[in-house]
Amino acid sequence: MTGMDLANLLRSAQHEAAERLAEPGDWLTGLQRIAAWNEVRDAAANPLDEARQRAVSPFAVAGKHEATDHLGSTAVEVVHRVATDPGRLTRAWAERAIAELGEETYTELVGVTAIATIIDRFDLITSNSLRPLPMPVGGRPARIRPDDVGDVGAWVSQAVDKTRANVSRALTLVPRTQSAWRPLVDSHYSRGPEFLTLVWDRAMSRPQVELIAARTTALNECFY
Amino acid sequence: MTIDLSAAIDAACDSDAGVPAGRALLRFANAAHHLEPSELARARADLERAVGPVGLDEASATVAVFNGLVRVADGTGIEVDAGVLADSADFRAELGVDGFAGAENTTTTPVAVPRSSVSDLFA
Repeated sequence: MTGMDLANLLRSAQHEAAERLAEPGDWLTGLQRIAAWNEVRDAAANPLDEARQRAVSPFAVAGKHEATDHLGSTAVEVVHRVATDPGRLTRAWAERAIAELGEETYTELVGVTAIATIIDRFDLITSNSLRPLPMPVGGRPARIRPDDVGDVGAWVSQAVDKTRANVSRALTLVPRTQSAWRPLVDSHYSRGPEFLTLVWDRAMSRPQVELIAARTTALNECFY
Repeated sequence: MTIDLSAAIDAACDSDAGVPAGRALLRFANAAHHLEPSELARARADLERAVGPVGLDEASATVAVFNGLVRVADGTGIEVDAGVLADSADFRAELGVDGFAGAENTTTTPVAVPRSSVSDLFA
């Protein structure tokens, strides 16, 4: 793959994912999804989030995020915690949020936060600037719960059939969000069947890619 | 190739971890995590010299996507795949990874599987 090919692949995937985030989602409107993306950006320099990150436990810091025009306070909390301190999320915390939001909306917020993080992080790394948020598209969310999801041991329901790594089915409860998520991961990392080979035909070898991945994962204190 | 896993995950460790251009790669990963502009600019320039402009794009994409992957994994509380769990038991403990909060999400019993391909790890 040439440099131009790779740049086009990445930019195209990011553009497509951004456009999909602006569309009505699974249980959130396009307006709410873009509002969530805006909260991801706010979280990067939010005093409450910074205080929680500095604390021995994020639960030791008093205060909570307020509701915005388009998102309730619990939804804002979910976005901020997932964006800023994912390694210290707990099942008990998630269960409280899910009790208020429903597991579908909770899962969609996690997915939107992750997608927005990928796009914004790439932009910050490569250009030290952020792209304008896309204009939300009107319309209603799909509000469809897939038939093939169930308890597979995660905090939220996921596809019962396991065909690849667990993380690849993590957002299957919210198909529209999953369909924005998977191409982004495929273009930026796994690239179809190449993932299953140990020797990659890229500008960096697989050990080089996995070394960066390991350090990034460790910096985020991610066990998975 | 023998990779020094402790160097890979210890952010304070400034070695190449046994990987070509490893030092530049790890410095870049740190800088892309902290996003301090001058540190990031230096790390980008050093890495571009080491792996070229296309390699730099690959590295940027890797950091970006893994920032998303960790949020999906930890936000949905998924378990580590049984094959990976079995294969990583020795060095997880040694490296202190078992102390990460997300370790509590995995209650599956590790299943040692005969490996003939990468996909067997996720079976």
